[in-house]
Amino acid sequence: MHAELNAQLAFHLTGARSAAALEPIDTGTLRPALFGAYRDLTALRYDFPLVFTEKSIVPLSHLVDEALKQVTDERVRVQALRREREIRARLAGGLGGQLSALWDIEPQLAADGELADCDAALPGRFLLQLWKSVHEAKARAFREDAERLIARLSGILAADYAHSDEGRTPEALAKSLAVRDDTFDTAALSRLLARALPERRLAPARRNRIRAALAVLKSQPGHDFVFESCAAALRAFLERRPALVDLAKAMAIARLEATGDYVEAVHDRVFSEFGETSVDAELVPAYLVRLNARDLQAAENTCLGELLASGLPAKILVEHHDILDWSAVANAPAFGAQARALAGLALGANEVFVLQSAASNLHRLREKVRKALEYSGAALISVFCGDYLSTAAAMESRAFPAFSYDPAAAQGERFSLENNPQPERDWPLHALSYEDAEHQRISEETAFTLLDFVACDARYAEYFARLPRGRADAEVPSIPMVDADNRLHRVIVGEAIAREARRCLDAWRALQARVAPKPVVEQEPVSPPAAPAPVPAAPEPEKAAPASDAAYIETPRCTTCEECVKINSRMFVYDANKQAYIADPKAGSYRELVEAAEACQVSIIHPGKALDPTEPGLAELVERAKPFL
Amino acid sequence: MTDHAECLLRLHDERFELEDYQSGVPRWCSGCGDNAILAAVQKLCRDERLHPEKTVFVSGIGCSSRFPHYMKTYGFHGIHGRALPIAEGVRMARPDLHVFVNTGDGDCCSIGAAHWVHAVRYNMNLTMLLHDNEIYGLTKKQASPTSPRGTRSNTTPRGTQLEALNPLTVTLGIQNVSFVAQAVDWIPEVLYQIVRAAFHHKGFSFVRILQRCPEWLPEHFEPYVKDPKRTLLLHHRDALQLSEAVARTYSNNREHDPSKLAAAREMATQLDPIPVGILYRNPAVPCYEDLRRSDKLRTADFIRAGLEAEFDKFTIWPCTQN
Repeated sequence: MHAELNAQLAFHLTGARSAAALEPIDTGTLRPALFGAYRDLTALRYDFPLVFTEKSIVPLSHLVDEALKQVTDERVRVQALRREREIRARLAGGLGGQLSALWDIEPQLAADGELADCDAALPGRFLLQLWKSVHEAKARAFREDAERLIARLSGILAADYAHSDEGRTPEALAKSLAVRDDTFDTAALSRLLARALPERRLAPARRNRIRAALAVLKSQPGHDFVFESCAAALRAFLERRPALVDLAKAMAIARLEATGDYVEAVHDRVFSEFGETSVDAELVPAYLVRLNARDLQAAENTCLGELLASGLPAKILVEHHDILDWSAVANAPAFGAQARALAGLALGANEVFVLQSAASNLHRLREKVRKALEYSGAALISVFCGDYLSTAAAMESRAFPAFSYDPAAAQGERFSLENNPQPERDWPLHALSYEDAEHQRISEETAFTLLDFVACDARYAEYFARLPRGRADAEVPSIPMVDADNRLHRVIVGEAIAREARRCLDAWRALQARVAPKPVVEQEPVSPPAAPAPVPAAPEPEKAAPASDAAYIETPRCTTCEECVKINSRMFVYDANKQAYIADPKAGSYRELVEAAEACQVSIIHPGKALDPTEPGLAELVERAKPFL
Repeated sequence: MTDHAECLLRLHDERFELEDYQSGVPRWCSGCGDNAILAAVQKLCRDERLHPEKTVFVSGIGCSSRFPHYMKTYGFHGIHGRALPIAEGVRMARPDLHVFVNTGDGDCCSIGAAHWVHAVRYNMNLTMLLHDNEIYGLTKKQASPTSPRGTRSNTTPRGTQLEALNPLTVTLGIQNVSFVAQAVDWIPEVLYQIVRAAFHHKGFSFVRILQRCPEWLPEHFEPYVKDPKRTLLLHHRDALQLSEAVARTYSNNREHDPSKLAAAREMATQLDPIPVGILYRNPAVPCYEDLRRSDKLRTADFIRAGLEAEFDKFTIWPCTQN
């Protein structure tokens, strides 16, 4: 027993296989225990294969399910599911095809397109399709806008021509009247117009400005926006930038001219200073750059960094085909190091939309991918490409977890770990049921860790050793694996891999820490029902301001009825809101004040005390003024 | 355009004062409620910075319909009862203009009733102000559909026999109604708020403004003007919000949710106290001009192609084969 443990420890620490009992594993037949059920993927229904239709990308199983909703005939249902399985097997065998060619049975499927399985080429295809649809929508919107402006500007120039002498020559008039005979004497008409309506032309500066803007809008060349390297994308952008600035300027000028809002005194200066910073993000088309992680050399890496930092709408897809990197410097494994470095670089830029995912998860993330492509700044999409099982395993084992960072979202909602299995845990736990030596059913919660992922890769088989059967537990890190006959084995792992697992866990925890904690929802105090506006206790007439001696008007309540200003327009004056106030109490008599108070429709004039005690009829006036004090 | 450039461009935004919208001296009687409505509308134009050349006032016939003459904007003084169809035509032809309709109780509820019903259903984006003084004023005192029962006038010397038409219940009963409000001309602050809300509503905004006629019905609204309790102010988070001063003076106020059609209809039947405020508002009703808008650019070629296609329907093609 002790000797066995020593042998295991020796293997774990040094990799030496001292005992014959520690056999190397055969990754061809041995696989992680939790994979036991997934030996034959074609028997299962899952997201793949995908169908690339004109409008969208949709899993075959979804299309079949939709179609089967209407079907009641069991035979049709069975046949359809069998055909789906056959197609899946066919794709797994490496063959592709058009869905309509392969699906020639009932029921009819709602869409058609090319089929694609989860393979090394899928992420590129997926991204390209989504990017095209986003790009085309943007291009279409721009074209419509430009065409509208072109129509308006052309209309202005046409009207200008029609008012000019050249536009009113007999020939031009004949054309516009579209008569083929001599019903109209166009020569006479031309002379008449020249005499009666002298030509009214646009100012030459304005005409030239409109012509120039029109010329720019009409001459938009087509460009290519898909690149295979950051350097090429950057170069193309810099080359095309002056033309872009000209276009933005022309569009702004055109918009102002179309509504007649261009004011030379102000706008000439604005447009002379129009530069790169004035260009609207909406106008800049997104550039798609497809990179292979393997080819990211130093120079390209720098370009990548520059592109990300520039804020340009560059959408960079980095395809990783192998994440079990080896560090030459440390002469040890450095799994996922490059992906982590890339993600770190992009997250550090803070304004970059960062998306990381395994290819298996790509379809689930399509909304996020679309968001990344529509985002107005740069986006980095890092994908682990490969077949379904390995990529799903990479995500499951946290070797290549999925995450997204959306800079456009509100603070606290930017970083997301959605789609990762059990994101709140270190490693996802699954129940593993097996039969023990006494034929009892045992169910254990087993974690799927990096160790399980690495165990699938033949290159690292030397770091694993299978314990002889019967050894139920080991004090050395180990994982359960099953062989071709579904028998459970225990496999111990070397220190180098265990170290990588710890690193991987650290990186995962760092990602978890980025997710903002959900604020604790306080039980909302029951708010009293919205009280109506305050009601005074007793229905008494409003207590006006203490009866002042000065005459005044409650101006905000004035209804502009003209009564008082008609009586005396120097004493009663309208303010900027056309409501009356007493401009000069000495400009009229107390009689006028009282008469105005009586005439006022809403009784808001308060005559106060008479300023001149010698005014005739004062006693009667004071009596009349009483109700208004 | 980036923010920087936008700011530069806005340096030159034009500001208009009330006087910039005033054209001529109104010939309404002094004390006429139309003056208050004019002041409120001019204030709205100033506060919303409406360009005079982008604003149109369309009217029919009556004292109310003198309105376009006193606004220094575009205007159309149309024929009796036909303000609404003209305004609808303006909206369809020039969707970029702000269209207001000034009409009276005779112009709208009598001769113009048919147009009124359909205008509500079309729900085009315009603001209709019904200057309801409950009498025919310009023609010197005849009973109108909204004159209360018993009103003595030149055509009804023994008083009208019928109950008055209630423009609020009628409008609320028409399909597609999207905004109904009632205002009174003697509370200028609330009048302004209602007119502004009507302007901002995207759809057919029906505002009935109870208006005093000091010449023909001088005592008619006196009890309501003098006693604030006989006015019921309706307020709500999504409707009018009353200032403290107004809430103090008009202590008879109540919360009324403008999104409930049934409650609005019930409120509309109330005559005393007069409910003032936004009775109903539904921003979700589509506007006719939006439903009919085509995205296609109407270039000369497009129009030519369309005309050719129409004319081809009447062309007799020579028979080429037997």
